[in-house]
Amino acid sequence: MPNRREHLKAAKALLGHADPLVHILMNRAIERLGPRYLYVRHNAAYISAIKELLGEDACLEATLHLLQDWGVVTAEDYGFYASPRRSNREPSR
Amino acid sequence: MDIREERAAMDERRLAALETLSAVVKWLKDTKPSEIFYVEGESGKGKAPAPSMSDEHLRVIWQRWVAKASDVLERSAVIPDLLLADVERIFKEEKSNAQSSGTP
Repeated sequence: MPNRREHLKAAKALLGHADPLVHILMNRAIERLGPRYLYVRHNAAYISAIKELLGEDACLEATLHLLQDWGVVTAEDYGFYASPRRSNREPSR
Repeated sequence: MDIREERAAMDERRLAALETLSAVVKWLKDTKPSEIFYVEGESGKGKAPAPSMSDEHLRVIWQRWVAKASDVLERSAVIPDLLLADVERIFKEEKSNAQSSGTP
């Protein structure tokens, strides 16, 4: 599973915002409930709770976290963010 | 209803639930923006967004997809008769398939 830094990097690249609290809460679910509860039921409920507590942006970020944990969204999907191809700066001579 | 009939009906519902979940996972993988809007890079370093797309445009597309995925997951979380072990197996199979086909 990706670490918190990877989750934050993906959120910043794909959603334009990254809140560490969301990922702390998401991982706390595993700490409290155990890895077997990583899948659908508990985390979907957890995402709803995060939406209630922190709002719509946090809900998107929590969903992205879940999709990363499942391997649906991978580093290839947001790797472009750090790529020099997207840079607008002039190359140094 | 006889216990065997009851058991058969439960198994049938469980299989239907599994199919639904497999379809959800497939839908997520097939529709993610990188599958549609990314092109193969020049240097063979993997896929990258099409050059005509700005970062902002791409973010809006990802935000919409994640919002849709959130809706779908919320609905699929209430599938009846689905065992946690089944869900785990689906994701394990997905990973082993990806590894055997050489994709990351």
